[in-house]
Amino acid sequence: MAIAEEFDPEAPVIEAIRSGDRFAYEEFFRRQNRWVRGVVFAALGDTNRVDDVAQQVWATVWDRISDLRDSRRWRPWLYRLAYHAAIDSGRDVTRRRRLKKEYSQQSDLRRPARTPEGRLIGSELHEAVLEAIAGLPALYREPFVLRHLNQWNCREIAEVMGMPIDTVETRLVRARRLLRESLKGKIE
Amino acid sequence: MLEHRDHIERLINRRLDGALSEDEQLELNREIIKDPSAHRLLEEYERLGGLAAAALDRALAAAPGGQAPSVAARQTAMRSTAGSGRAWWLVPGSIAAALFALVLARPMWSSRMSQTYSPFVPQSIVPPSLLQDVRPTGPYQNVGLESGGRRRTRDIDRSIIGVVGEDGKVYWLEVDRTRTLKRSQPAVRLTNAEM
Repeated sequence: MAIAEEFDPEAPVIEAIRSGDRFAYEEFFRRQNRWVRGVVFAALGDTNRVDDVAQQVWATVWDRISDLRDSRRWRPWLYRLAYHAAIDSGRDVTRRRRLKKEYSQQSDLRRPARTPEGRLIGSELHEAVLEAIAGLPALYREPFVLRHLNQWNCREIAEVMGMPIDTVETRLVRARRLLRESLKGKIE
Repeated sequence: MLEHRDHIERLINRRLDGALSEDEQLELNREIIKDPSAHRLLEEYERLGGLAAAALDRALAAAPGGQAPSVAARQTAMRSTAGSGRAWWLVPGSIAAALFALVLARPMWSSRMSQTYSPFVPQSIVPPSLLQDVRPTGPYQNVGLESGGRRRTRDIDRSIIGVVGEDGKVYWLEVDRTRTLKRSQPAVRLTNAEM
């Protein structure tokens, strides 16, 4: 059964926003902002611009809520808004390569000191993991972030991203494999 | 062998994603007991998943005080125009008002130009006496005398544009446009005595 066919507690909230209820909009923002930020990060691979783009997304939600015809389909709609806002904010191949290069150079400079065994600890480990996630191809990063930031299952991810569940599973397997390789020796 | 390994890895991933069927769960359990490397892989992926969730949460969780973009202004604007069929003239009306204000302001700018105009006296070949005779009262000046009595004059038109800066102050931009003309007759202005 598709998500859209189940009872969705957000559907009345969407209707309230559609009628101009500012408080419903703020409540909706509080509940959904987390994964919207995840989508933006997954599309950009860069945490620095997440705040700005997420704000744009939420302004667009208010402006274009009337475009959402089926209020039960709000999640794919919001996903597309967030994804396209991230793309429009300047993601292109050249820019990404340049940013990635700059980021890796900065990372080399501030790469944390390791323990004698070569392992990372605490926040350094989180930084290394985040860097590794950011370095994943967007194809694999997007479902991976939705899975681990929001604890969504494959069916939910497939519904939102508009792709078969098998494809989501395959991409998650590859994402984990790539991450495991890039973090080899750091997380044992 | 490699295919079997891929299969086990896929089962591990399905377990992490909570998508294993009962049969798959049994198969994975048997494999984990039989093959220590499969068990290690499962533990490694579980740890990786936990670390990824923590890292993403730390980097992307919105600040507790995070707020939605302000919609008050948008809401007011929407309500003031919503349901009002007469609001269509607001845009062309605004443009017309702006143009009207521009037309009204132009004479003021012109008078300001004449008041602040300070003629540029070039180091030219024009005799000082002649220059004195034709000293312009308007924004133009003589810049040279050619053979045959023709005179070159230079018109100067000054545009003034007001721009509101980020600090709230108004900055005046003055742009001079210069044009040099050749006149067949000397541009001599008659003095009161000659008239």
